[in-house]
Amino acid sequence: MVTWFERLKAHLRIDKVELNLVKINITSSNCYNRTNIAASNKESYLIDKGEGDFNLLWDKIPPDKKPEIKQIVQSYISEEGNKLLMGETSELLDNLYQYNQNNINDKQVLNFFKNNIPFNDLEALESALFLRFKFRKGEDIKKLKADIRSRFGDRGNNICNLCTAGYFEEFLIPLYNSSRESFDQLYELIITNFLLAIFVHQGMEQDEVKTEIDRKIKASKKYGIKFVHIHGIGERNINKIRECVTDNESPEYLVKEIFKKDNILIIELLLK
Amino acid sequence: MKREILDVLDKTVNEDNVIIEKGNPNQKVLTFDGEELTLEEFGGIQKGSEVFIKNDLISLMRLSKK
Repeated sequence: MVTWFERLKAHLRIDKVELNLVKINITSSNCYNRTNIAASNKESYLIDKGEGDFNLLWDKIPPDKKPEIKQIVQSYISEEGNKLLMGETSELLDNLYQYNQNNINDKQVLNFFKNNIPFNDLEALESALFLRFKFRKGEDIKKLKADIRSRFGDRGNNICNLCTAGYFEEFLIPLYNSSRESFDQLYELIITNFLLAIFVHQGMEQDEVKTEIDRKIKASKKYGIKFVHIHGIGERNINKIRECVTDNESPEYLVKEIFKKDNILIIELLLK
Repeated sequence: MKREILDVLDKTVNEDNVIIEKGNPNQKVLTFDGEELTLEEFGGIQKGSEVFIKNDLISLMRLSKK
């Protein structure tokens, strides 16, 4: 049986491809910096020997050849297990495969909460753990965060913030282990951003930060939680926090700076 | 490039940028979760009656575990 790739090579008149192929890409000629890629004579395809990629240049394929190549691509997709993916999607999927294989600690966190939190929260947490993994590597997480928010709303956004700040491991797991009843009582309040932490962001004005601090202090006292944490990333957010929380003694709390590094600040208000 | 890829798959987009069958403009393509898909959200396609893949983190996380 002739494979789809043999049909493709025959159609493009490629006699032999001298490399171990990793990936076949459909792309266009303006996507390439030619200096490091071997070009064919007719330039309807490019072979990247370094990456093991075969790149089909859709814009360079003559119109009369396109119908046959479309059929070949459709024949490829019709085979079980084959996918045709956009470049960024393929890259993210590869990252996820590797992450799922290698990140045992995150898997353990997820397994812990498997039967203890709502299914949607678990899915949000799973994505949040991956986002944290990327964040800690210094990678851009804007789209990942937007995806979580888009799918799970404010609740997903809160889970993301709490996860990145380590609250699932450092507060919620110990809480569950110490008292299932307390966990059940407090979980919903924490996830809906009613308790525990304030994540100051660009969209928050000074007054809003102050209001949030007062609100969280009140709620924490009501539920017996002895602290409120305030998180800020970036100079503007850090300044907002510092202006709201002074080092002077407050009748309600003591201020402790528990983390300050690389433009990230975490303040603890230890409630009196 | 997305439009060219859709053309290879005999798909196009309607006036709302939702991906549809070229031969049947009323037929919108669906993801694993039975959702419609816009050009911006298009991540790829997989065998299984042509299941379209959304390019967001949650869809790809689900796909990565299959």
